[in-house]
Amino acid sequence: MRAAALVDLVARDLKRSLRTFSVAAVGITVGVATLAFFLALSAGMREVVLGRIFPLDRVEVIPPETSVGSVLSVLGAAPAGIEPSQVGALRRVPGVRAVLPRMRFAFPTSGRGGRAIFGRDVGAGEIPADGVDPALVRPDLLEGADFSDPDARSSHRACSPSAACAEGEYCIYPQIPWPTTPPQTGRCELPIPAVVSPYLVEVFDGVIAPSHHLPRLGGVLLRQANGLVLEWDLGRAGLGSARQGTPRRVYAKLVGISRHAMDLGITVPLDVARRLNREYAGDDAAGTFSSVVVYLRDASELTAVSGAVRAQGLEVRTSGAEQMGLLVTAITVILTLASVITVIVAALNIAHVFLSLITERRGEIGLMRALGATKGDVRAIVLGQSFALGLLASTGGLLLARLAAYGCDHLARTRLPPFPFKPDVWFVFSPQLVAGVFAFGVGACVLSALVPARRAANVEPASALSGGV
Amino acid sequence: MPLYELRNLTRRYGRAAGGRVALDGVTLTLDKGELVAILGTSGSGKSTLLNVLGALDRDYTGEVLLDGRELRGLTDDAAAALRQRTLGFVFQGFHLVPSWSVRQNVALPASFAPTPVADLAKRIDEALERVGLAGRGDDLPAALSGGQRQRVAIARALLLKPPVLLCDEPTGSLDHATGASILALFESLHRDEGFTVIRVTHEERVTAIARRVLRIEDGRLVDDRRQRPKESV
Repeated sequence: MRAAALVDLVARDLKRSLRTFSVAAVGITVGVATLAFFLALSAGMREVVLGRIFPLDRVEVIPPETSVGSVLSVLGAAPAGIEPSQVGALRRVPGVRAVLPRMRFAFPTSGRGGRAIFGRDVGAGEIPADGVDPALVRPDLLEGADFSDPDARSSHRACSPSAACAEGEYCIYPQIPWPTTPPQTGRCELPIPAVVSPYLVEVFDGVIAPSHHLPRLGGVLLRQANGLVLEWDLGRAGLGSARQGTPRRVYAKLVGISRHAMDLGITVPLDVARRLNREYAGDDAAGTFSSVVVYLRDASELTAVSGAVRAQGLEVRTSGAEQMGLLVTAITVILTLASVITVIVAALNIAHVFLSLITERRGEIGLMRALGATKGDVRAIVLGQSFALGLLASTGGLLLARLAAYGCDHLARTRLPPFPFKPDVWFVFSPQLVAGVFAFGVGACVLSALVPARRAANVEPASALSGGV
Repeated sequence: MPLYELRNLTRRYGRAAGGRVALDGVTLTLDKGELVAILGTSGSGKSTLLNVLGALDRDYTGEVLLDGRELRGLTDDAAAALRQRTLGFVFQGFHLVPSWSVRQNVALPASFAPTPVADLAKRIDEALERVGLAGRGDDLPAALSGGQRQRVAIARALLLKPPVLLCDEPTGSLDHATGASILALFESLHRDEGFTVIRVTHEERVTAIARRVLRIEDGRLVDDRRQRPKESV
């Protein structure tokens, strides 16, 4: 039987039994729609939870936390750090793509700024900060931004309240100028480049901005970050001062938003952190790293790499990623199973419909055999009908899922209050998902027709034409 | 070479020793171009014989040769190809698809041809014209009388121009006058176009136009006579 003839017969048969097939296809349409809807929602959640909140492609390695270390820390000893030799060893662990050390500021800082955006300065009594390898954040920097220690590039020219610095530089005084302190002579320095994490932006937008009636930061900051400069007090914060060094005020310039910045705080070039730690916390604090971010070649290597890290006497900071990954997977599996069961029940219904039609049309099948149709032709007609039914039902189901997703996204955008990491789009319909769900719907229809097709092919023409069973 | 050669044809339903015997040792030959009536009462085995001749039923013992080929040994696909190439079927129940037009019903055999049928539209028109239904191609079967529906079924059987027409009680559902016109059509197809027509019936009167009458009783061939056909029944 030629393909064109098969298509013609299938189309005519579908048209002829449109009502029966439409009712039968509703189940597949609903099943495919729910399957696509839940899988797309799950993919969206996975992207937000595991892509933005708990990235699975990296682990943070920290020094071992011992009770003795904690006691020593309370007594004023510097916390244990990760030696450069240990960083080298981590680079050689199989499954590791990159190892990027971080150096946390070992002294307090505080700051304020944002007048240009908020209309008034917003301050923070404690600003945690750390330094990272510039390569880590380079892709996230604003165009033309230089993420390196500005010390070597600054003019260091003398300045005072009456003798301002050249544009782009700020007058840095040797100590923080209290109102009662007489004017001092300072030196002109470029601001320290800094990046913040999208997590911080989300927390600000979702929690801080609403409670302080401030505008949301996300879009504004992305556009104006290049001009946002913060006053940054080094060695002095709300809870106390550094053990050494003289507190002074420098300036930090935001040059980008990066997933690699620390979650709650600001991140500067590693050389800046090293230099300032040496100044305010001593050589030990400048010689070891507070943590190391280990990037995996693949998320599936997490367990193996974690084991290798622990074997080196270091620890992996649990971010909750594994648990969240499991939770998202579990929810996905449950919802998918429910949808799959819907499709299976619908497929059984389709099988029943086909069996009924074949019983009803035994004479017709017998006639086709008498007119030259082979068993294969009869089987192809039934399977062709089920294939066409699957195509239509799956297309309808996917359209339905897409419409429902648009509706939910719209409702979420307009009705849900802002909260950290609130996504603009909750559903991800990847080509793989669409193709997979489509193939599943069509496949379920075709599979459901296998037994009816075999029964139709085995109809004895002589018996069928005589009206016998 | 005869068209059909049947030697000791036996068809038994049920495998047990007590299974019903539908055909019991039938031996006969049928030549090309014959107009044959197979006469028998209900349950005599005449339809079974037609099914065997049509390669629709190949579960028999004995020998049945069509153009020298034993039918029992054919694969399913080979039997289907043989039916399409050589045999046209007309049944008592017309077996038309009610939602298809007359043309679509007539075209059905072409759907199973391994290659596209050349000039299909023209062939359909010719077949419909031959059975007296020119211009009715777009009608649905419901718009036709019983006799016209049977003519559509005959046009369908003629579409691929098989040399043999096998007809199972083709007038069984029709009134006397309509049945007579259908029989006249078969006679015309035989006389004018050389079709071999093998027709099964239980009505003695409709054997009148046949040139050869085979009588089947209890599965056995009890009479085989040739006759001069009457012009009408």
